[in-house]
Amino acid sequence: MAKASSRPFFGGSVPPQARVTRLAEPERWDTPFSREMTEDEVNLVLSSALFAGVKPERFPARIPLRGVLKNDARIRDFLPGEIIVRQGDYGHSAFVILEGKIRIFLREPDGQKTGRREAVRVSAWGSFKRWLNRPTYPEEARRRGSGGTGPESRIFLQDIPGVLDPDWTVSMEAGELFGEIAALSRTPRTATVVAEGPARLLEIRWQGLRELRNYSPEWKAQIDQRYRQRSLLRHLQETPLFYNLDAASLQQVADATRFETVGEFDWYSGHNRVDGRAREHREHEVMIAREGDFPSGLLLVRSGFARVSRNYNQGERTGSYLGKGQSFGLPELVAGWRGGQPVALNHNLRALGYTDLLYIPAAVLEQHVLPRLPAAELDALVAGAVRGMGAGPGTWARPDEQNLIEFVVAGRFINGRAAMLIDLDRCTHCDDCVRACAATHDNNPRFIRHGPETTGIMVASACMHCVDPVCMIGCPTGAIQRGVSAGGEILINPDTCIGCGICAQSCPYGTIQMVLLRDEAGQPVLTEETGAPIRRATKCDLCADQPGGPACVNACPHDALVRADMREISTLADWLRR
Amino acid sequence: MKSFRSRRWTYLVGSLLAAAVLGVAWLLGRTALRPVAMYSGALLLALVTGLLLFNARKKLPFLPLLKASTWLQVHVYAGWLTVLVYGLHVGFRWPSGRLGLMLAGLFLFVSASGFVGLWLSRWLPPRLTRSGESLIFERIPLYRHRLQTEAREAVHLAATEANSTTLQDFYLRLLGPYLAGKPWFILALTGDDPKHHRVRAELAELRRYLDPREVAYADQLGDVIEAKRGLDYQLAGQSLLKLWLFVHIPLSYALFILSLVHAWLALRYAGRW
Amino acid sequence: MRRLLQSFIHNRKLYNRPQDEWTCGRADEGCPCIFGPGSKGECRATFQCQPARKGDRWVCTRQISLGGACSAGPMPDGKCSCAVPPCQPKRSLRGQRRRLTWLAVLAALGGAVLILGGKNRAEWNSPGPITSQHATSAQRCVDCHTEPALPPLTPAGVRAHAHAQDQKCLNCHELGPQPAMPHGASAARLAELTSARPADTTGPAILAAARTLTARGGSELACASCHSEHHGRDFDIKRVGSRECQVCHQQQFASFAAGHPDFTSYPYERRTRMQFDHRTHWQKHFSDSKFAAVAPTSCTVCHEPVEDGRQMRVKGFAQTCAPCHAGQIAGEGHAGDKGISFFRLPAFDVAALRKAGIATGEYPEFAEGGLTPFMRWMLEGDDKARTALAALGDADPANLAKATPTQKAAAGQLLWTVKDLFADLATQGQAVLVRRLGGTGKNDPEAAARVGQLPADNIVLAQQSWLPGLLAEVAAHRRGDALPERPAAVPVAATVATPAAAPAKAPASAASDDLLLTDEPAPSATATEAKPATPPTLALADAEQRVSTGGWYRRDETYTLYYRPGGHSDPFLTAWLDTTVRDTAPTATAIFAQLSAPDAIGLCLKCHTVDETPHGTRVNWRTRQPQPEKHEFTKFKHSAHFSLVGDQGCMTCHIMDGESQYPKAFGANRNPAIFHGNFVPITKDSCASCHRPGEAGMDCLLCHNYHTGEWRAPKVRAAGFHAESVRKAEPPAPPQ
Repeated sequence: MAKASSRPFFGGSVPPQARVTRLAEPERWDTPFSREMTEDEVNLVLSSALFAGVKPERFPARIPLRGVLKNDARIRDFLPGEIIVRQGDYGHSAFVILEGKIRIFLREPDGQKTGRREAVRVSAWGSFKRWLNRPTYPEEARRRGSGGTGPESRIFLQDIPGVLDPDWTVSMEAGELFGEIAALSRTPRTATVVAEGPARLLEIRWQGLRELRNYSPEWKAQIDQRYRQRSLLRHLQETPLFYNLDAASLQQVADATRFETVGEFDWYSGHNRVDGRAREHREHEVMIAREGDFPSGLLLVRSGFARVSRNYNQGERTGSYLGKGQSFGLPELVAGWRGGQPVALNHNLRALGYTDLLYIPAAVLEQHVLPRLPAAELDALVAGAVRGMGAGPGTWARPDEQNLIEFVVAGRFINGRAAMLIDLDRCTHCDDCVRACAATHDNNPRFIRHGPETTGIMVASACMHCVDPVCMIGCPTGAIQRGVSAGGEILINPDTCIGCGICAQSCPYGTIQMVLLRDEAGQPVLTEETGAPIRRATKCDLCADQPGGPACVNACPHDALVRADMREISTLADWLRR
Repeated sequence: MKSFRSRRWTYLVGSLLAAAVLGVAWLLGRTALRPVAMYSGALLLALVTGLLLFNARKKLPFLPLLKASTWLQVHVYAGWLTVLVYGLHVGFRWPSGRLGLMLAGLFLFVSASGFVGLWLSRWLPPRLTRSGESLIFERIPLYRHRLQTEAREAVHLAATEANSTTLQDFYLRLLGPYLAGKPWFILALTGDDPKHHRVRAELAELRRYLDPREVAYADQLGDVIEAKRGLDYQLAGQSLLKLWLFVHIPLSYALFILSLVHAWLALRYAGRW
Repeated sequence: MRRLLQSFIHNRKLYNRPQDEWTCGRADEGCPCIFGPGSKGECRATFQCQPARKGDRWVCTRQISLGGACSAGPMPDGKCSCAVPPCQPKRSLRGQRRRLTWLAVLAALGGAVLILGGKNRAEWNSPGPITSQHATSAQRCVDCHTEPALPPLTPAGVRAHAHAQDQKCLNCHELGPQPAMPHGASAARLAELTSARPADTTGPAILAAARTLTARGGSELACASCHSEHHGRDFDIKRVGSRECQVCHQQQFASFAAGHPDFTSYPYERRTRMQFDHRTHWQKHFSDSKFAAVAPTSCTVCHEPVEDGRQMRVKGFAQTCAPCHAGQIAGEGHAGDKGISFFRLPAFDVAALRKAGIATGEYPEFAEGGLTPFMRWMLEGDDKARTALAALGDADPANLAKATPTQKAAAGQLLWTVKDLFADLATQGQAVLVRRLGGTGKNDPEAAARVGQLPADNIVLAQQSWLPGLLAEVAAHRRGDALPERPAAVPVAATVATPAAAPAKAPASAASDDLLLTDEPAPSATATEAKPATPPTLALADAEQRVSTGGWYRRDETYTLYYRPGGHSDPFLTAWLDTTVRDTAPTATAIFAQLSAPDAIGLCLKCHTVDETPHGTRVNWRTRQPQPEKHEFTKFKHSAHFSLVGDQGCMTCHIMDGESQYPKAFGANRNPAIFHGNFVPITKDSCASCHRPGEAGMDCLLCHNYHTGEWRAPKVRAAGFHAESVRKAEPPAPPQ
């Protein structure tokens, strides 16, 4: 696993190609996080507790600590009750508290209190005008906008005292770090954070955080430790199983819980750029739990994916797969607890690539959790265990879905949140979807109507807007990022993309295409210094800025195309069975 | 999710009801000596315009109008209705004027091509899928080219390794032309392309002149031939799926323009409204 | 296992661009150039990459989709080593389709221009050939169409346009005063009809429904509502279904047998114009053996279809009644005078007058009878006579014994007016007669007919034999002189006494009269006395006999001029009947009464009936005649049914009514609507037996006309097709 070692989980080093083309300093610093960051502010930050132990000499010459702070960080002042981060939003930055106090909500306050933002969409007329003056040449460059992110609109939380119920909020003091989990693991914000009083925070975008973690052991240690604690607690609180636990017993469960990472780290590198059907992945998939063994505890999937399968003659038949938050072995445990003698597991559990697991010993479970579960739920679980079902919420695949689910899992399409599926029995190859895509994207298609097939269904090579968007790893400028909308599309900001092609390399499904930019004459645009043509990473943006939603779906006259969330395999089957 | 069957029923029942209403209205109007020709003509023009709008909507996919699939459904069933309305309009008589004849001919062609197209786009895709991988139409020539080069190389290698000209002769005589050409689409679709059968048969016969090294290449050529056959099938099917529009769309525009002329004349000369 | 033709390493590929107009010519060979063709389809191939300078050396920047950096690498001078050979870009499938579409659109537009403005646009605009009847037009649109520059779109404009169009039709097709109204009837009439019948909704639902779509009552209908042209030469332009007919009607029904209103007295709407009792003739007379020779054996002996085969006309008198009744008209078998006493010297009590000292001049004492109605008619033309008649009152001039002096004076005056009249007639003849009969003057055919060609000589002879001195007396009386006193009775008595003598010399005297008339008529009288006895000669037949074929004769013993009718359709009688039938003056009624009496001379009104209708009173001289101008609502074609009647013949439908009180409707009754038919009215069933969907059909228009009224047939001249052409073509070109 040479590749695995070359790409640590957090951030990962800047890929070789990118470094080659680099001149003095990272190009992302051409468009710094904030232009207001002054030297004094940098000094002030360096003087704070968090940076006391950081040694600037550890940093390489081209990425000095000051540079990181100046370009990848900014100082923001928050007023009392102002929302800093919101649960569910996709953030790319972590926060360090310099002054004041903030509150973390363990439960999401209702929406109108936090005033959730809606996705920005242009009007139909706007997109029509855009279509009217569409470029004549492929990939003709539009005028580049100003780099950097503009000042964000501020949202306040109404009647703070009422909302700040001590049971459901955690207070944090100056010098503490938060938001790094979302920033580094490309996951949504796990909690809403508001400023309790006037607060001054240092916001670091995740590239900067990555650098800090790479070159400062203290930060690395702190981040990992916090990461384990916070994510664990948070995760337990988010798990339905533990909803009706009070803080004390929850803490006890947390203490007893073991945190494990199973399997090769970068699951996608094994899968990268190879035909999904060509290679069998089983040997890469580490066995976590074996069918027939007796469970000693409950397994919760923290991140990554795990395949649930049953032995079938010489092979294993995939029944479902577990994603974030899903549990394994609960029915068997319950049945054992009810029946008195232990019950063997009904399924195998294999790690797809890497899987972060939480292991909760049976004893703790029986002491704290099971007694508080409602009887009906328990009965259902027992029944499931007896019938040999119930590997988590994912229902066992019906025989006619078997092929589909094997295909989905083998091709790792489980990652997809908006994968483009084409019903080949209805598709007439009219290419209306492609032309619709081109019409909505300056006369350039953003996907290829072709891809791996199984019985009558094809996964076209359009961006799936993955649950775990590995393409975002290693982008030197953060040009590729989650949209702020609740949909969480993966978007490439053409203004900050430098065309290094790392995302295109990393995408396991090869849905990102590097294109040459053209000028109005159709000639390639060249960089001044090297004279090399400017490339741009392009991919499906799910028409995030279009009024009508995905044009490809709307344009298909034969109901042959759908953007499906692969996590609902059953709805997918329904769609196929129309 | 709404199943296709239930959707088909709703649309079918709906359009049948509409047809019945139209028929009764026409009968009543005729009996009451109303100018039904005028009314049906206006309705017909409106319907044709609506059917044409489908194309415009395809060109502007980003507008948040209904989904194209809904448009297609309406297009199809409204198309059936239009045929009925046209029949009522001309009184199920073959028109006798020149312009009328032109319109009738155009209408016939447009509607017929439409229904053929509908049938094709429901009947062909599953067969194309079953025939193997689904190819992108624009790439088909490329794949044929690849097959040709592959075959050429294989033949060349075979010739050099075993320095025998058996396969070369075969290529020059049959295989080359076969790989270069494309059969008539009916033959390709029905799967009895005589050339293909001949090539395969002769290749099998050829084996008795081949030595073991050549046999490997012969097998490869066999694969190439099979691939070429699949390619032909895809080409035929997909070009059918695209070509019917070459009749449908241009003629429908012509039909629309000429029916405007007809409407103008009718309004000017008709004795009553 | 099947080999795959393509791999899924997508980011080694370029996006497919099916929407582009052009595709690179090398795409088929798998090495399309990264730039692709220009917008005009020109090849823009250069190199596969643009090498980039890295410090002092050049590096290949070929993109992944083309396989990444090439092995050869750039030339020392920074040129790419793999040049892309230029190609001939090809139109994409889309491009071809787009071009085809444009071609079609342009072709259609060109066609539109030609059709709307081309040289022979008429042929193109025509929606089809017109029917052969209309094909006689100049075949220009404007012959039958108004051509507005813009089509009317406002309701009012549309109505005006439709009206103008209809006028074009009506230029040739005359359809009465309100042609566009339903059945050509006035709104009032329609309303009346509508209210006459109760609405009946038991008919077919479709009719009831359609009825709600039609405008109520008196709304005009465009011609095109029913008559649509341009459907071919032989297209039946008049064809209209029965349903269309019924929509407006109050009572709607599905079939003729069921629902169509029953016939009331069809086809009998009035009594026959001739009083001819089919029953009595058929049963009594025709079966009578003594008429066997002349009695008709079938209906067709007297009845024949007219040209169009619709009506059955009664043949003329000669073929029908004459064999039996011709003689009766001439008067054979008639008791008493066979002539009508037209002019007569009325009786006066001459003695009483003389005793009263009233001058009478010469006047026969033996004159009998009063004034004939004809004389009264003539005297009433003269004021003196009228006053005298008035003064006379009820006194009888023939017996004035008890009369008052004034009455005697009046009688005297009357006497002189009679003499005046006689004198005028004698001297001036028919002219006076015409004037006295109320004729207007020279060419007054009726008055002339009334005169009946009364021979002037007849009057003269009468005057000479009755009042020889008349002319002198009247002359003197007019001058006011005293009258010569002469006994008048004697010679007359003599002539009467010796009838043989008088006639004997009458012709002689008549012969000489012409010459001697004016100066002195006396000698003739004297001459008669001169030779009292002469040898017996041939005897004259009775005067009446001598005019057996009709004409005038006189009887001296009664001082009367008679007219004897000569036979059927005698002008004198018909003239007097026509004159007097609609004249209510007592004299006229007297004349009419005399001529129309059952035993009257000529027996005219024994058969000919008198109609008294709002339009006037007239004698029906003729049987019912075909009227092509009249378009009845109901039509029936006898000839079409001849082949159908069984051995009953006409009786199949026309069944004789045994109990019919046929004669009752005649005599005093003059109202034709009151009648008793000789035949049982025809019932609907007898028609419905054949007129069923399968067989003879039951379209409304089979037995009914939609357009009713009176008008001429359409004028069929090409020039007459539309007013404009008439005005334009000066003079209208005569049809070759």
